[in-house]
Amino acid sequence: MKEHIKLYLLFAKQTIRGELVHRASFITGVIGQWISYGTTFITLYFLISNFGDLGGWKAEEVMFLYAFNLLSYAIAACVFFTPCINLPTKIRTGEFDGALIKPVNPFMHEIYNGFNFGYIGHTILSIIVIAITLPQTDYAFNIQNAFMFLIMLISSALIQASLLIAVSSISFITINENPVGDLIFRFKQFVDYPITIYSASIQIILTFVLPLAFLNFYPVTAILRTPSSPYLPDFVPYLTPLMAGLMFFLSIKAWNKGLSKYQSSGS
Amino acid sequence: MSFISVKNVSKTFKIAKSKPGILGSLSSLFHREYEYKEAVKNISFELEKGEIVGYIGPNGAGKSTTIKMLSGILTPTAGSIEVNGIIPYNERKRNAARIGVVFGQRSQLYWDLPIEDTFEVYKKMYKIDDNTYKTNKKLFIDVLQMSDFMDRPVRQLSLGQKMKANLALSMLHDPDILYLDEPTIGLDVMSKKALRECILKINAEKETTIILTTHDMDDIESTCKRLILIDEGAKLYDGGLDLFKEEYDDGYSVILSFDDFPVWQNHRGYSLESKDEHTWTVSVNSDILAKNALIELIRMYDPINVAVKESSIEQIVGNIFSENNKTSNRPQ
Repeated sequence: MKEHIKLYLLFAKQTIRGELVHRASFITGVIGQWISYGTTFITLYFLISNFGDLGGWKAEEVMFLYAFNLLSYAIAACVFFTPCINLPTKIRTGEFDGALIKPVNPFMHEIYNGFNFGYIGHTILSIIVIAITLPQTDYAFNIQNAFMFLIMLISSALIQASLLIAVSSISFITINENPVGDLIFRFKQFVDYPITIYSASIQIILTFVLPLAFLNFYPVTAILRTPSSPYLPDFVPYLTPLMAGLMFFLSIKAWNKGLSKYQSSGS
Repeated sequence: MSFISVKNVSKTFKIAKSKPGILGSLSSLFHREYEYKEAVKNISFELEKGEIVGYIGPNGAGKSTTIKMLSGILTPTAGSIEVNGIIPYNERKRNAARIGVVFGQRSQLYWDLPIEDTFEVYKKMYKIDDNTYKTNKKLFIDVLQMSDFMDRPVRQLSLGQKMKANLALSMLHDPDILYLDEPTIGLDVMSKKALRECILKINAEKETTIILTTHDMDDIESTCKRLILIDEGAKLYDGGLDLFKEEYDDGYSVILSFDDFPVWQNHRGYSLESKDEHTWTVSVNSDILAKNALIELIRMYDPINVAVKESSIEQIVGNIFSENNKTSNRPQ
């Protein structure tokens, strides 16, 4: 484990140095993300404060829900996005061979080499929004609650990572780009809002079938101690870490299963 | 037990057939047909430590597939491979620590990092101790003349510089075996020369076993003593380079220049290979000494000039492959 972390930090350091060489492209990237997500936050605020509430949630709470999702995504994506998004191309071109002739685990090799510094923009923006909205909610600052926040954030990031990994492992079989990734991103829009606005069946689907509610809805209800889904038991939000562990485990399994199907390419 | 032993190895790829048109791709979603391509057919060979072997064959002969099985990227469909006591496809990580691989068609460098940093990363990844690292790095920078581009990011390097860097990196951890898959492809004469010299040096100094695939017969002639020839996945020849020349070389050519062409007369052991404006190219059987052939030809035709041309390995190999393709009935 120590070896992995040392290697990862070395690669990450080199990557950041590489990225900062293209300073202009880096800064425009960050500004672009801020404008795009910033607009979403402002729209959310005005829309919901005009209605009063959304599924029983105040505007600040919905913004916190959204920012929490963005932060956990940024944490997961800076590590997993590049390796996962590049995998289909690497498989198709046979460039993935490189991972198989190194004296390290092929999955870890892809991770080392894939640190993405670009998510610093998402991270800063979501932390700002959380810092503004969290004091507006009923959240009480104490050690116990801070610990809960941290556990839930890590769990959510693990689920975000699992989705990226699971989707990318499909490309071992399809070889070409796969549409599943796009589909998952679209489905994720369901949890931009508290799932209490949906019917019981959709809430159950988002909990057990495609458990996207564990990305932000359940963690946030556990942090804010707000009422969870009325159709499901009250302990469901606290299953988040368990769900995260399970999903991460399964996604790695899927990746390794995919790896066994790898055929390289001609030449 | 040999250092590398390849026994009756075959590799068959399963390829999904794609049907033309949108309807075709839709129907293949539900019902897929596969075709099977046998890239390597029942190949066996043994290698001793410190050998340099040229592994040659036309495009699609199965060279890269063999290298990929030896290096652990692919698992053979049948047969077995053992490299230095390790079964590469079963113990990929352990095998990887002991080998170096260069794919000429595909760079292993990290695109945004300067070579210098990539060296650092490899040092950690292969757990190379400080001493070995320092000596090797210095050695390769000297032999491959890399000092002026060590601090540049990979994407700014020329093809030749990238290949030098790839080769240096593949040898940084003192591997027992080097697999070089078309390392000189697309390189200029000077870069090729530097690469070949480096290969020879590393083999002499560290007793590294080297398997080299290439289309450039000069690579083979300047580095290898042994040759393995494959075509359509099957082995055609395995043996010394000198023996190969003797066995397959069916003679040499004499070039005669004329102002006015005399009349060609058929005689045994000689045949008129080609004819252009002022010259004849006459191929001569290898059992006639060049001296006698020249005397004979000069006496008969009185040319204004003569030259003897030995057939190169390239020609010989070319002849073998075209013969092989004529005799085999490959389904088209």
